[in-house]
Amino acid sequence: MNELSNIATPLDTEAALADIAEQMADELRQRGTVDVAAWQSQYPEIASEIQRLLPTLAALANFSATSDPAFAVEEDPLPDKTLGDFQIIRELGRGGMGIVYEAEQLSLNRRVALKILPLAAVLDPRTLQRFKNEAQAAAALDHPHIVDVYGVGSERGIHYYAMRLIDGCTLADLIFERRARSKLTNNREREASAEPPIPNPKSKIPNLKPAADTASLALLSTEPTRSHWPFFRAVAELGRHVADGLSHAHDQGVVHRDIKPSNLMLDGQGKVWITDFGLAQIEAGQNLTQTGDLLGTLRYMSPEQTLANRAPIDQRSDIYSLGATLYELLTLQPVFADSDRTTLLQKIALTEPPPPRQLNPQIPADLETIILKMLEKDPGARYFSAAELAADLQRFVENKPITARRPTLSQRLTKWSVRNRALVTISAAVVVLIAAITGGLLGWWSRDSAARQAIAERIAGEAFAAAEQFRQDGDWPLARRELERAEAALTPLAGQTELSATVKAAKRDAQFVLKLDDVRLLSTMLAGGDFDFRSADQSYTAAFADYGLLVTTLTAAETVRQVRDSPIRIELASALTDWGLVRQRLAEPQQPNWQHFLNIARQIDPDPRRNLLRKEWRKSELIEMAESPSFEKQPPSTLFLFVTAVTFQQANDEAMQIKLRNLQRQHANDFWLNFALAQYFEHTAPPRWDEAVRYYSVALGLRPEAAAVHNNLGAALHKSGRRAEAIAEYRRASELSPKTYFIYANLAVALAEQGQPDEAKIHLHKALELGRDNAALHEMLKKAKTKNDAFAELVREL
Amino acid sequence: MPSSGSDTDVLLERLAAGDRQAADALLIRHRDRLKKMVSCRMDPRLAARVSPSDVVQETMITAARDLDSYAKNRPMPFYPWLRRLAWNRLMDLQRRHLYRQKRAVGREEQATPMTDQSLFELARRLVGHGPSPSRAAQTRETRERLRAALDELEPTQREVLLLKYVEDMTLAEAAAVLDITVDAAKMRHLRAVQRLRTLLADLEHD
Repeated sequence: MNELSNIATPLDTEAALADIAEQMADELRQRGTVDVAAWQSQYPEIASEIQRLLPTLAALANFSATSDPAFAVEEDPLPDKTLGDFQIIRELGRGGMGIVYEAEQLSLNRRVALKILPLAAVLDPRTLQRFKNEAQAAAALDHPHIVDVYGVGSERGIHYYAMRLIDGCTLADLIFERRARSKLTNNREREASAEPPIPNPKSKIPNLKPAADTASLALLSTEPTRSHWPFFRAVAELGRHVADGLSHAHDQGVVHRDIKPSNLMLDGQGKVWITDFGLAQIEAGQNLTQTGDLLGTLRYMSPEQTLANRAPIDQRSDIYSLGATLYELLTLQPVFADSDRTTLLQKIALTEPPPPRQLNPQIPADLETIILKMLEKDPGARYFSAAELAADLQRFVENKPITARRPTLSQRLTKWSVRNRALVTISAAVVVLIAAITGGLLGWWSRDSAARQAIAERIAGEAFAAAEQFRQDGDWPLARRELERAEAALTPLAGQTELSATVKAAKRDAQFVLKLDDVRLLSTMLAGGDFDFRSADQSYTAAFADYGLLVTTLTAAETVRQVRDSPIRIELASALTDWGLVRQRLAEPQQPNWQHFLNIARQIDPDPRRNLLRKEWRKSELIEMAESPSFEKQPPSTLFLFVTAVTFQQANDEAMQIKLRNLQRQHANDFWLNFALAQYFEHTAPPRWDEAVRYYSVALGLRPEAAAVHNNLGAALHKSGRRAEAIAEYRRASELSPKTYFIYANLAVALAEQGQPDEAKIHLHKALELGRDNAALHEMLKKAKTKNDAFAELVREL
Repeated sequence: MPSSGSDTDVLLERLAAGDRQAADALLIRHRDRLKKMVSCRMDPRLAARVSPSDVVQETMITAARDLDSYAKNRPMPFYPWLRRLAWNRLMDLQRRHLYRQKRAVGREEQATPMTDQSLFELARRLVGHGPSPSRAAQTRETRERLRAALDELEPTQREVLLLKYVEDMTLAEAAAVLDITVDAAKMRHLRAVQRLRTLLADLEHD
């Protein structure tokens, strides 16, 4: 049932009972019952004590925390009903973007709509800043169809957005009502009844009092019965007004990004207003695959918005979203009704919308053509500007010929393939999301194998391009992930294409680089106070042999010939340099010696600076290099070598330390540089453990799964007296790399010092079990024995 | 249920890797639990002036600010960390509102105040609240007894029960809150259960 049986000694009975009490309590909580007999048979010597605990534990466990109405959480961020200059009057609604209140602005004595931003906005200063900038821009907009933004601000950590209060309903309300009524009407028709519709007292739709220029809009909320034409014209009119507003905003460089029915309001006169300008910025940073009520927003997003955050979004994205909104207003169906996020994303990216006239044959063909043009996947195929769109809608309203043309089938096919090619060049990272949905996509897409192949290759090509980008940024884990996606996309295709061969080779390279990183991390892991170079040497030999590169048996010239043209030759050179350094420090010298590795490295990576660093360093040279102009601008691979060199050379005067801190600021996102700097500060005299902790922490932020960093961070914390935190890091390291003996050894030392000899003992045994033949471990234990502390005691007991 | 499990870890790692959305998810995930803690720990006199939601909201803002550095170092499990922020805030408020005048020099407030409300809460939970009407009277009696028994417990023992059974912590989390080892927390829990048993038995015989 647990591992207690391994450690239970008579002395531990109480501890065992304490443990059992907890586990029984948890069992009772989770399952409502506990198998007492099983516990008793496992611990016969304390069977009666276990029995006696039961009633009290059962009483304690007998409640359900979650169903307790006393703690039903109601969230009211404004309990005292004021926020700065605003007095809250009532809540108007809430959603993913926060809560909207009707409020009174006290200084100006006016009613406003006050939107309180969600916590997410507060969390990221960059998003917040971007939001503020956008909101300022939005506040500058002045148009009869755009809701005036009065201002943004924050008070007591709550960020808000104040805008004109529109007394009316949103288009979402309107669509909802119309949908309900159309169901009602259908039922009635079935019942052959001719009663007039009963007004819904709960309706949010205001009583429309048609004003002169918006008379036709009143028709929006009426049922399209005998004559449909006025209704369709009203929809077109509404679309034109929104397009006018958008055109004004776009001219000022403001893109809305979140046009949807719930962001378009109709006031009592039936006039339409675009609301929430600038707010989409907050959502822009959010991950589309997250939970939340983003689905409502997602439905109206343009294909380029759904693809990835880095997509270039321009005015044509708003045109798409308006198209999706008008589509729904006309047909009472969303363009894609799917409620599964992934399916929805797939369809937005790749499925042509069902033509509106299929859903309602009454819809005029021209209006359908306009809407479909707005909904084109390729921004280039939509109206270029909102003004152009407004003009076409105007022509429709006036019954004149529209400019939009419906593409013929052959045009659509051509467009499709052009789009495929064009998209690759727009932005490689954009299509990451598409790549993620490959599996479902291929099943769903047409059975036409040529089309399937084109899509698969496009996805693979884009993932490959993304991988290239990540590779250049040194982000190999992400590069590998992209390549895996590319491979997954190509797998269902028959036969070996040039692309699949390229992807395969690139993936193998990426895997190898990551493997080499692992080995390098291993060689830098502190075991006790020391490094285990022998394990690292063995791991390097194995890794290179796996890759098919027999570095230790081939001559340098032969090796160079094999990898001279490799796309990862810089990384190989870097690993070979490290291997050389490892060899140099081996207790028992091996052939070929370390110079062999550095020799190869110099030839496959002939960068003069790095090669200056790939020899026996002289301190004076290193200092000189640090003083050279543009030193900080060197690529991280050079700087990493440099930091390694100054670490070994103990170049640690104050000036050098300052230099290196600056270096880190310049390259804060480079994992290896942060790692090397942490090691540097471990070796200064005296060691700067606090700084080592800082840089290891940064490195960990970049690669949270790196066991070696957890281990070394643990060691640095341990050395700076933060033992409890050190133990936590060691534990994490051992979880991530459960087969590395010295993590357990480190953990054992820390636990022993912490006064937890029992657990320490377990980990020490684990270390011995894993590192039985390891000289470094025995060396460490031998040293430990001579000391006079808690750990020494444990070792002596062995 | 205690939720410091792997989901929280995954979120923390995503946060450390720069995923802002994870921060929000993390905080929201633990908000209800935190609110519960604040509600049952808050001195009723303070509750008249400050709503638990306020304390939670302020904690969330502080947490949002410090989350990055937390995620990098993870000095303790997540929920205990979050709880500590809330706790500090709560103690701050209690000090400011309640102890301002009457506190004599050298007199410290109890390290972990056990308010009437939290005691009552614990007692209520211990007897459960199953919908059996026939047991209603008996339940009240049991609750009173439990309440008396809990009063008798040493504060440190009472505290560990409160953490585990009212605040839904694992003993590992409780250990982090109490700043003792996990083994010590387990032992304290055992002792509290044993002591409670004795006290209840005594009360029954009286």
